[in-house]
Amino acid sequence: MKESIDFEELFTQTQSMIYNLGMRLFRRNEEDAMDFVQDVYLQAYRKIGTFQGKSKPSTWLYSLALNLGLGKIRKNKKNLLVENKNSQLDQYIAPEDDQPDKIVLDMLNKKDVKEKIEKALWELDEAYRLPMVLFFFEDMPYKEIARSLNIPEGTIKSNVYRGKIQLRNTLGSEVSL
Amino acid sequence: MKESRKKLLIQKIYTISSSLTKKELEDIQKSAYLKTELEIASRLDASIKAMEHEKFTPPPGLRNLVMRKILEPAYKIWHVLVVMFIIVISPVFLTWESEEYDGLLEQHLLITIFIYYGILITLLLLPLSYQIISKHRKKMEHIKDNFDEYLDSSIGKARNIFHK
Repeated sequence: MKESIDFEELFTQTQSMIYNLGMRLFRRNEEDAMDFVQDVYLQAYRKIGTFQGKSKPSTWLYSLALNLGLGKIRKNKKNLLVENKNSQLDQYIAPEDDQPDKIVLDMLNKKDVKEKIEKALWELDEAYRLPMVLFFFEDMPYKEIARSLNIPEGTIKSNVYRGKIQLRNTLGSEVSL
Repeated sequence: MKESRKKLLIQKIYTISSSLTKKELEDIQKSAYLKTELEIASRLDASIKAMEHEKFTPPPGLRNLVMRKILEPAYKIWHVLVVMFIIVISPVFLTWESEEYDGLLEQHLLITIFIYYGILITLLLLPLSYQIISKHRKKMEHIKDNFDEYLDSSIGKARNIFHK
């Protein structure tokens, strides 16, 4: 049985959630996020009659929004190719003496480390940043990320690995500055 | 520990540490360097997960933008112009082509009546159409779904009658 939704109320309850999803997916570009939000609610308005009531309206809308966002990203797939292939920042270089890296560990103990990591995350290559955002913020497993972006799972895992190494190395390089 | 083994463990630590097997964890614990990398990776993960998900406030004009987009009429201005052109001009061509009207009514009077009613009806239809399309856009979009549903239920009923 189809459930009815009060569209105005749904908008009021979910606009912050959808807007922030747009900001996460589109690299905090306000214009892209606004376009995304408009497209989401337009599609929701069109499909509102198909809501079956099996989940909360906000969950239904979130799922719709995520699919729409990933569809837009998939269309512009070249953003998901690594831009700076010669960067050393995403290469893990093991120390010759196998000594633990206390420097990076100490950095992680500092008070402002969260801001540093956040800043570094948003500055990553899109190919690294997006799978990490989907994995950590949208709780998507690698298999689903790969399917949604139409990229092999191995590539997704490789990009997450390189993204984390880049974050790690960025923290390490903060000390040497 | 071999370099290749170390490299593999590092890759697993920084990709999905939760998938490390018991044997792999034991190997990691034997090496101070790998233990530290595992801790670094775990702390990085925890920091990313702890980031605020909804830290941005939507701009105040967002509601108006969204509602304007939703209530935008389905037709464009050129649709209206084409329809008006057809309504106004077609009677002219009709009367020119038709010989039946000769002798019954003055040609100019007939054309004038057609054009007058054409413009009047168009002017009445425009606001009415806008109201229908913008206010009931949702219903129009679901005409196809409603029709499909009607067909499905009719077929279901017919099947039930047939099987009885």
